[in-house]
Amino acid sequence: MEGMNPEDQDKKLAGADSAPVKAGTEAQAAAPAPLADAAKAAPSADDAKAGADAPAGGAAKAQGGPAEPAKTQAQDGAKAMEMAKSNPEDAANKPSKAGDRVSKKDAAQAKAKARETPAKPLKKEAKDDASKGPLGRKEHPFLRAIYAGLSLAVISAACCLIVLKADQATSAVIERNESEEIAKTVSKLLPKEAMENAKFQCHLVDDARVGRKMRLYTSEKEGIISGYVMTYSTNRGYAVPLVLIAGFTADKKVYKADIFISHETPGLGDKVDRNHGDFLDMMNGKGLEANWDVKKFGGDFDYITGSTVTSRAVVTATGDALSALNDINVQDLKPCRKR
Amino acid sequence: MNIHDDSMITVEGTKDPSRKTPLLKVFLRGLWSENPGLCQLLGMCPLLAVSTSAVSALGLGLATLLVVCLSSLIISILRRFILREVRIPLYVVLIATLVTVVRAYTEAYYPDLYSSLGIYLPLIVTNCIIMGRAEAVAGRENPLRSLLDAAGTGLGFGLVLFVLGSIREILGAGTWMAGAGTVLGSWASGLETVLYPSDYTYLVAILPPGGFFVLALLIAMKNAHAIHARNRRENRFRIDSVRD
Amino acid sequence: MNIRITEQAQKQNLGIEPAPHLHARMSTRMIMLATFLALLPASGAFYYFTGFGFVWQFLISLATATVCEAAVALLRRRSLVASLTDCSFPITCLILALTLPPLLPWYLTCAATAFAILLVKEAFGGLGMNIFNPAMAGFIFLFVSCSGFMFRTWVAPQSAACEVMTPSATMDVIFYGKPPLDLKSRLEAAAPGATPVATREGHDADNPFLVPEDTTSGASESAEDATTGATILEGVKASRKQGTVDLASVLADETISPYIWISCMFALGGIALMILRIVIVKMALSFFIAIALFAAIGHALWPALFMPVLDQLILGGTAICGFFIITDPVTNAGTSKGRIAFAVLCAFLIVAIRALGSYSDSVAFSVLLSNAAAPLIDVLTHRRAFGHGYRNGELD
Repeated sequence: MEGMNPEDQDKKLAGADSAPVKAGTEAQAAAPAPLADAAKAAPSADDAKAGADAPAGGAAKAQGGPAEPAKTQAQDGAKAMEMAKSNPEDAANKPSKAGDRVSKKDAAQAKAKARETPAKPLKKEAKDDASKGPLGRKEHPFLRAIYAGLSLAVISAACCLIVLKADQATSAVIERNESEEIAKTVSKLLPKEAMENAKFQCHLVDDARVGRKMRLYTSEKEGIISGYVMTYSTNRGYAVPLVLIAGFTADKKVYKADIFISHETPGLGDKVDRNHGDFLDMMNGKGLEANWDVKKFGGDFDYITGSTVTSRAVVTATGDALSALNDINVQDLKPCRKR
Repeated sequence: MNIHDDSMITVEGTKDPSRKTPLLKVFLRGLWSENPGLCQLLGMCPLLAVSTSAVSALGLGLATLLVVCLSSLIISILRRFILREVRIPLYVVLIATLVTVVRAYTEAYYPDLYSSLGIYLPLIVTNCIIMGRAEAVAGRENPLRSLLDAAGTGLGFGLVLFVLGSIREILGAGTWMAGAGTVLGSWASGLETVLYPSDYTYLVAILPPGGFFVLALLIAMKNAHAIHARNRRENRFRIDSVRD
Repeated sequence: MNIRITEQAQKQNLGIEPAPHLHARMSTRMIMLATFLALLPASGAFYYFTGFGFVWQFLISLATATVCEAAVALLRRRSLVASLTDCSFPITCLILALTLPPLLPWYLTCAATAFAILLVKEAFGGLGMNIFNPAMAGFIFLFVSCSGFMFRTWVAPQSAACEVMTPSATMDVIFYGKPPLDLKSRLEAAAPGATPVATREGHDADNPFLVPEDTTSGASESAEDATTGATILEGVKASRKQGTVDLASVLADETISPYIWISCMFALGGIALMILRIVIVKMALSFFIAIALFAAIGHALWPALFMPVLDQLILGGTAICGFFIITDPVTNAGTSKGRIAFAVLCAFLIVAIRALGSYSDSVAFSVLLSNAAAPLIDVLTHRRAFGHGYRNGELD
């Protein structure tokens, strides 16, 4: 059955439909106008969508009459429909034996009419059904379900394969990009001798002085760490977040600091960044021994007039980062998560 | 009334349902009359979030255009094998696959664009434009019409993104196409312009409220144009309320 | 309500309203005029303490607002004369002039006013239909967009500033773009009781960022903050970040008296409006009591974050907010219980944002947030209709 065209399937099913309808009407011995009923039943058979409902519909249309014989006839009709999958002609002939000669002739006429009239609307339905997919809409719900699941599974599997393939094709390039990115960031902040022939490793830092999910990049040469680059955040700035990044030499002194993420007041607080001057260079070369605060509050470092808060935040944050760096044991740190 | 205006008036119920819209109209309606950003108001989240600079807006617009065209094409080719009951999950799977592939290649070959778009590149999966086109057109029409419709819609969205991004960047940062060199490639570095010093910018244009304001003004301008055209067509320039 | 009336009735200026009819002498125009006049004592005090810059700001704002209102009236095809003479937008202009820095460049004032009138008031429907207070929204627009300008052009009020900040001097700064620093240092030099401050050009050769150390006089400390951009509340925020909010040392006595004067003038105007029954007494009273309460609790528990009660009431625009901004009938809640809830909410937000927020001038933000909450407050406090809900849980 599945190998047939949708049009043929539906025609066969419609042909089988009209049979139980006729069976239902013929059961009405007291039916006033069997021909009229059959004629009424014929257009109702046009609607192949009615499917198994047609026998019951036909029974309801033929008003009155015994409901139960109609029902049993309907059940027979349903059984007949199923049998009609293989042999529509036999199904049409079987119930007609139960009727008398007149109705048989009328049934034959009605059958002929039923065969003709559904042709045109059937075609439209066939077109609709064709657009609905390879299987008819309601005739094979079980098969439809199986097909639905299968198509979903097949397409999903194909898509998974495509995604894996793309991932595979690009992962090498992405890793190379990442390591280049790290090298570029770090190269601005570390002295040249720490950079040559060095291997970079990224570690995650979680420290109250420095912030959560901050990164520490170590550059190693022959197993010895020759430089550190660390990002560190502070909430003492005017706007949160204020994240800085600094390169430290192997003896844990500041080599060069820079602003990583800043939302300080434009025009005032952003004077600390490198676009507006070299305020940050005053911290170069200082280690833990310096007093990490601005002169206004007793420290060693200058501050920019009008953005005391930002200047002080930068200086104290760098001091905290230094003290955190001195307490960190690099082996204890977790590596950064990929991507 | 101008006699030639009859052809432009569409009265409900008189359209012949079996006559298909011409191909050019299919393409153009996505660009202007049913623009997803200004008329249908779909895809608002990436529209407002990514349009803080012209370059990232352009990048997302191109990515969305690519995804919507490919997804519409594939779905249209497969439409006879997709049952109605499972069409939505299938569309989602196909669109997600496309977006993942696009993301992987963007991350590999355009890393600056990838980092500037951030999470909004994979979020294209949830963009209602793509699903809307798949459901409305690609699942029903032949591949050529679906492709044209998707191209028009994607281009319309991309244009709105670019215009919005440009306006917000000019107002909020004083530059235009800043970052084009790093994101699009060195050939584009000539496009970067600084229009006025950043001290005189209105920062609010880059912040979320500014996005809403500028988008609202764009929608208002488009609606004003549409209403004006309709008024002129129907000869309705008269005062319709008397007050004060 | 948009009622269609015949052209004849409109020409004869007959208004057609549905019954019941209640004759009231107060029309919109009279209310607006009364509010405008009530703001004049405070404007006078502001002029005395900060100079002529405030008047220039008001004039610029007024001009922009007139143009905007005229344009909108033309677009809506409404009567130009009627929309320009309903006296509602001069109040917005005056409040903007009182809250914006006196030396702000003219184009920024224009932008703020255009934003307030066009986007916040007219785009929502015009007079009586706006959700948010236009003046506060305009202030926030500038505050968020151009903080640098706002800080640089702010003038700390001091006695007899109007003699230094003459019309021509301020005109130079506002219109011709002269740097405001010179004018402000002249103002500081003329401050009563200030010792002459060391010249600002000289600096230490080693430390180019160092301010000349002249910490002998308290006035120069606060003067430096004022000159280099911090408003009083910004200074408080700076101390809050250091963890040293001890207001007794930040405000020397001679610098707080202008604020007291200005707040008292606002209170005077507010009381006049209360007598005229334009401002609801309950609202203003509950607002100030709530601020005092929250500030007292906050200062007692966390003195490092919260300012003392008196400073909360006087500094930072609390007075203008309590009398003129939250009592604006268009943007506050509708029911009377709702209005008290609105005032308390606004007070709470002001105190909270001053202590914990990133922006120090919290009045505008609190007002906008309360405006957004006003419809919800209305729903939650709506009165029981007569005959409904008489029995608990019943519909009747």
